[in-house]
Amino acid sequence: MKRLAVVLGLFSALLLFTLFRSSPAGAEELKIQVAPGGCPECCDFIEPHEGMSADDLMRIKYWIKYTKFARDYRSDGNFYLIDKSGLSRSRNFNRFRMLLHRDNREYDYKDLTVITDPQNIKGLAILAWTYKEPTRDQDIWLWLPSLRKIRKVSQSEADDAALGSDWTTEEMSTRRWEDETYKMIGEKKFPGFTSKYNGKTYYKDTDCWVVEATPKRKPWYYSKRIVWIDKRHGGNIFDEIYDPLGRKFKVQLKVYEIWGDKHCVPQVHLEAYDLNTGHSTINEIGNIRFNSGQDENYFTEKTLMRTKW
Amino acid sequence: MKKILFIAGILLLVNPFVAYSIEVGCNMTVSGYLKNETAVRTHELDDLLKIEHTAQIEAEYRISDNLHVFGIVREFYDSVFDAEEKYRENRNLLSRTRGINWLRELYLDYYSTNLDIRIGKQQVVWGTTVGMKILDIVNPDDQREYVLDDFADSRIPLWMLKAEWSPKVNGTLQFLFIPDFKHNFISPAGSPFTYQAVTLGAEKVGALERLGYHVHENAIRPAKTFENSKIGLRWLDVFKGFEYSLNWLHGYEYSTVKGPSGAILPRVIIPGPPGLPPLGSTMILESKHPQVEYFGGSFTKTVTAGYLRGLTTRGEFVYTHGHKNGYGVEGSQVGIAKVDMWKSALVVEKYVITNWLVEFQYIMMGLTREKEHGYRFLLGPTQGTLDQVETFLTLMVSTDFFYERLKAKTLIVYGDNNDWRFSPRFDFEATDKINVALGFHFFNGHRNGLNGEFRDNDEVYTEIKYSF
Repeated sequence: MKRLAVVLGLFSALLLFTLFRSSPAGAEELKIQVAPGGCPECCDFIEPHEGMSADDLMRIKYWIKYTKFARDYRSDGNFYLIDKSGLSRSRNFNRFRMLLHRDNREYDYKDLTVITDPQNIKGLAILAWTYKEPTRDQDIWLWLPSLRKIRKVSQSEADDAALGSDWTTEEMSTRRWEDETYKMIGEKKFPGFTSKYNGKTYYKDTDCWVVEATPKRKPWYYSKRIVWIDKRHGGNIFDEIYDPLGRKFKVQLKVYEIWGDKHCVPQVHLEAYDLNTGHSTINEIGNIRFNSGQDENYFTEKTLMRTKW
Repeated sequence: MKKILFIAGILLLVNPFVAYSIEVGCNMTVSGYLKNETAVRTHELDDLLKIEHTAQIEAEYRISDNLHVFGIVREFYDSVFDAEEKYRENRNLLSRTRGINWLRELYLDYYSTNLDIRIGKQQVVWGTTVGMKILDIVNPDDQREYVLDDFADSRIPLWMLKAEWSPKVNGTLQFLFIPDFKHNFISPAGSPFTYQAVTLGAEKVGALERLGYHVHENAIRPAKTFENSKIGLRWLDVFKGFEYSLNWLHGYEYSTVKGPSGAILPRVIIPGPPGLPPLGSTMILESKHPQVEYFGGSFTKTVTAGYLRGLTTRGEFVYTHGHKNGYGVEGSQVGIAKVDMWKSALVVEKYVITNWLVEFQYIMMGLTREKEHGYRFLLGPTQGTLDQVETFLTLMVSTDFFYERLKAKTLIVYGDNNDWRFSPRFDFEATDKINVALGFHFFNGHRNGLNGEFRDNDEVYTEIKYSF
């Protein structure tokens, strides 16, 4: 009898553990509205609505961040690294992504970024395969133009600055929904953010949900972030990030385009400010195309080897 | 060539703030750089090793989405051969780009979903080790600066056909057909980085000439014919995150084996010293490239979950069948024998603290037997005797500061005969277009060691590069 009780106890613990891992309290199946078959350029969409939990809103946020509403994505962009004195350095890049989460059991998406300027790092290319399993790191290959060779590399530490920017590696590409816990703060109108880069004020009086996200990893370089989520599409338009002592040390702005008739919501302009160092990073993304029919073969080492520079 | 440099100069002078790559129409991109590298010996700061000025232009023309032409032209001039009297003798050979070497790369690319073809002058890289080459065997090397140049610069491009066929998503079969042949370039005696074997050889030739002999060096190169072409295959695949390659290359080695092949006797016979032909003979030294088969492989595995998460392991192996190696005593070759050779590397890499990348390599090189006729085999560049297996350990640590504006890395190479190289380097991005670097190379070890032979060449160097 005792043995049976122990076995049942272990089984229940295992079951609870599994359930807890796969479906956190409050999470519900999000209703994805699939793009009509007759419109190859259209995107799937999830409509955020009143009464949604913070967990679900953040699921939508990640869905939009990684453009999971599309089948593939490509864009050209540049980012400017601006220090306190105003000195600006720039990086231009092409980005390609193939979303595999619908049909593939193993991969979530594959992503290729190629730096096109400046000349001294021109050609640097990063191929990353992201897995569905949330505890599994990306597989990453680099094309190193100065050496003319490919190297498979370890994923950078999540708190490292990505390509010298104010975005950490996890903010840029590796953070997942499972990495934080979420608490709804409420519904507010966003007061607006005036860019130091172009002087424009973005999103003044936009209706938002405000969510507090706390990292599960401790100690970590931030203690929490306050995420402002646009009610129109569920993308986060502004993040306020707090250090382990509770002081705000970073803010990030994300500007989206809403392709109303096609339901695609790409990010087109990003700004990140380090309030301690005065350094900022501005990203401008253009020439965006969704569902252009990219092939998975493109996201392989062979493509890296095509790089000439 | 002069014309190209002139155009580059005009582009820079007319508008030094032009955007980096220059889009010439919508189908053509041009970029390039001007660079100065200056190196001095740390023992004597007025003893220069290099004052090299380089101009490079790269251009890509996109005929269509899947048909591109790409070329690189590069010209350099090293003023050290003017500035330093002791190198003056090699000025014509080493101070500038020679022949059509200014045409660094020129090829046509064809892309399709399953087949990529690149035809033209190019470099192909198989290995990924740092500081020493294991599987990087497709192109010959320019070793005028030992192995201190970036490998992409020291590889000598060849005219070849490269085809990549992908029968599955992650699997690619590469086929190489290389009708072109160039040998490894090594510096002659009296250069900043002359191998000890070359110096010893030159001394021996000088001694023979003083005795009254003539010495004729006969370099036999493989003819550029269809039968002599190099052929290579590589299968590269990723299986459940485990990447591996199987490699095969058939052709002539880029390095030579050199030995006496006879003598032409003079009309009047005057006996020479024991073991040598009559005085006044013309002794023929012949250098040849052995025909070999390379069998190799590599693997890479990044641990993406669990305890060792973030750790990357890599391995490379190459076996050279048909290799020929000199044997003899320390500093003196007695003969040449066929002996197979192998090299392997095991690499472990991990980010340790945020952006500190640490990479450790365990490298072994060996011959399939230790001795020939009771003599040990010799290390080509130094003529030092070889153990049957030589081991090298390397450690590279790299990081960056100030939003990647300042990058620092250091490479330490240690050979099991207490042979060392320590190479720290700092790169600073002054602006998008101007990069400066400061670095050092410290060598230590026995004169017969790979690094020890350059122990008087400890150097500090600077680089300044203007890109457009």
